[in-house]
Amino acid sequence: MPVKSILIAVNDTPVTEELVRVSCKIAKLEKANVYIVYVFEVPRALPLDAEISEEFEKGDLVLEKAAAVAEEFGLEPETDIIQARAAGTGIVDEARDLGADLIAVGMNAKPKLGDYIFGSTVNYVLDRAPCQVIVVRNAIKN
Amino acid sequence: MPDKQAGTGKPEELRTSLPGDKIFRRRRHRMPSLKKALGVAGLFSIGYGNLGSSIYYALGVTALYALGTTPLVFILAGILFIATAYTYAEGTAAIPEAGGSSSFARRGFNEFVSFFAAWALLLDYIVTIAISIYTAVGYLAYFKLFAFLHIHIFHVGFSAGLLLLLMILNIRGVQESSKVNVLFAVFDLITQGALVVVGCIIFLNIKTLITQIHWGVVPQWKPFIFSLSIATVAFTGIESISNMAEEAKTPEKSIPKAIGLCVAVVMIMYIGISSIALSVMPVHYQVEGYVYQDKTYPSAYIYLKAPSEIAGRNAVPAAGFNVWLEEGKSVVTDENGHFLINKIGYGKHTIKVGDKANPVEVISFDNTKKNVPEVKGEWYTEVGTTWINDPVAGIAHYIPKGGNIVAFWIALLAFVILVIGTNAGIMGISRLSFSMGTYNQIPPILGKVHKVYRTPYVAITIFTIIAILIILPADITKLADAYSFGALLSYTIAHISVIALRIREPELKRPFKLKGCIRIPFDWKIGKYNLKDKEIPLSALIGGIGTFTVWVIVATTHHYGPLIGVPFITFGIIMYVLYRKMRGLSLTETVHTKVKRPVHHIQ
Repeated sequence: MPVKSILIAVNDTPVTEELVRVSCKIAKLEKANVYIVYVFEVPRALPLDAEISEEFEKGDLVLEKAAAVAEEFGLEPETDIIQARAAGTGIVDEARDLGADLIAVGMNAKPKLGDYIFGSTVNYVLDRAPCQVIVVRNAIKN
Repeated sequence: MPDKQAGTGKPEELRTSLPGDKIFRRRRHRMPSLKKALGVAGLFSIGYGNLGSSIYYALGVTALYALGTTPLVFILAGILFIATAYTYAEGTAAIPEAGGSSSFARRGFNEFVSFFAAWALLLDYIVTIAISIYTAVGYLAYFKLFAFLHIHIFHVGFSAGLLLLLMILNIRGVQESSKVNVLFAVFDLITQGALVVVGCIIFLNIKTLITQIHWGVVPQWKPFIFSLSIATVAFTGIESISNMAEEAKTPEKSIPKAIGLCVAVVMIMYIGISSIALSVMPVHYQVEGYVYQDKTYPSAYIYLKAPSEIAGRNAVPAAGFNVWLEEGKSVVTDENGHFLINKIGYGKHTIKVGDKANPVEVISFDNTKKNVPEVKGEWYTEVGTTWINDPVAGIAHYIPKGGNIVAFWIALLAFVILVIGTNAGIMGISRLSFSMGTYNQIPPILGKVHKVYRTPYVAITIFTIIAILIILPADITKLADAYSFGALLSYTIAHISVIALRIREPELKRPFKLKGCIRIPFDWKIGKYNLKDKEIPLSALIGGIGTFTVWVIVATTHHYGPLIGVPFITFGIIMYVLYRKMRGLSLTETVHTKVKRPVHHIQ
């Protein structure tokens, strides 16, 4: 199935750079448009449209870095900050609105005893996404 | 994705870069996208979670005054409720913002009226959390382990402690699980529905319901009217759907649908449950008094005197004496000489004291009259006395088989639902305070957000402490009283704002429009607006007049409501005026503080 648009959901964790790189490689191969979104989970104690300057600044910074990585691949990503009650719903809804063919989400390596457990966001996206999903996990450093 | 392109402001020719090209990318300078997740079901569960929890306290406190007319009072208050609910539906579908009546007032009038509405709503929230937590503890007292909570001081103390705990959790940013809330709203709906069905089969007795009403006597007119005003507490949470409007998908459709569904279900539950309650615990008369024996002449008795009235007289309490109604019911005086005969019917009765073969005192009275001077007596229903703090558990208690288990479940469910309702109230306070801060209606300190927890901790702390202070000297009737004061004010403002919007912005897109309008046929100028040919929705007009009339009753006949409400509203207005003057802002113009975001240029 051709991939014409990729939605990359980024945050301020170490996996973001690797996530964008992997996604951009696919985008380059598939000649796909790239959308990078940062989701600010608004606590229920605030209105959904609450304007928190610190979150805007953080989001802008993360998006700047992610966009810079994408530009290394010669891509012109569109970036956006999304406010949602939960990151998972924000990502899936945005993918649906954009008509994205692929969602790329990241998860951080957390070596633990026992099986690896996805976080609630990755779980939600895997469960509800209307399109293909890739999950990128960063390498475990020795 | 046209809006995305427009948002970037990026020329089409720069969409594909060629080797050697410079990249010019202008980051979008616009507000973040909001992801809205609530549909009709989600909105209904939020609305019912709030409204459906009200019955756990509204039934007892209304029955205390309305007696046998309780179902009727709920129907009458329900008419106002329906009018108010649909006013919210029109306003919210047209202006889908959090804030309900405050948002309508901003557009319908000006910023000052908007502040007034928001401040009244804040009072609502504060009293809602007070009454919800107080009743939650009342249901907790049903369990033997918590029986000590029947003692008022422990009840109040425990309520205050729980509120403090919720306050801390909310400051730290409690991760409210909407799934859990929806689940309990569903449990609540099923339980109340089952109670109505089972109660109708086992208990409902139309004859009992009709015969216990004697207009002007049981209840008398004054408490009947009082009960109408207190019954507004039954509709606590009516604005909750409206306040979630900005999180609703297609609010123009989902909000009216969810409100309509809530109205229908809530009315069925209230009429059903109150009719069952009055069938199980019908209205009776009770008489109490004291019997004293003269020290010098032991055969002489003084009857029906209170201990204070007997002070200084040569008499002692007559313990263990028979006191009985001529038609049979008999009691024995306690060590203080006190007796209480209950479950007395409507009519003429005679009380006798002493030896049954040779009674020494005989008192006759007629409780069909408005005042019965011969005895100290009153009409009552157990719904408003024994079970006033947990009336729904009271109904379950009377189910002949398995009643204890049902009552156990209802008490547990009510406790959880009411704690969730309390938490929703605290979150409502948080959101409203934050919004008021962004509109410069309150000093920034009140809307200040915690750096780590991202919650408006100052507002949560101050307003929760006010709620605790309201609980301390109160009981359930006082809290209902205080709620009515703020709520009716909010509803009145919502009605007049929706009417004002019809005049000020007749062309405003109204996805849900109230039907049944009157068209003003003549020139009638108010300020710069001519009312001629303007459509005024009749339900909002009747609703507005109704809620304002009831508010006047509350403000003039209730005590605790004005005692809490008047200083709160006065303080709010003074604070608003001083703050606006200090900032050099107009009292009536809207000044919204937007966070500035930089426009990024990368080359």
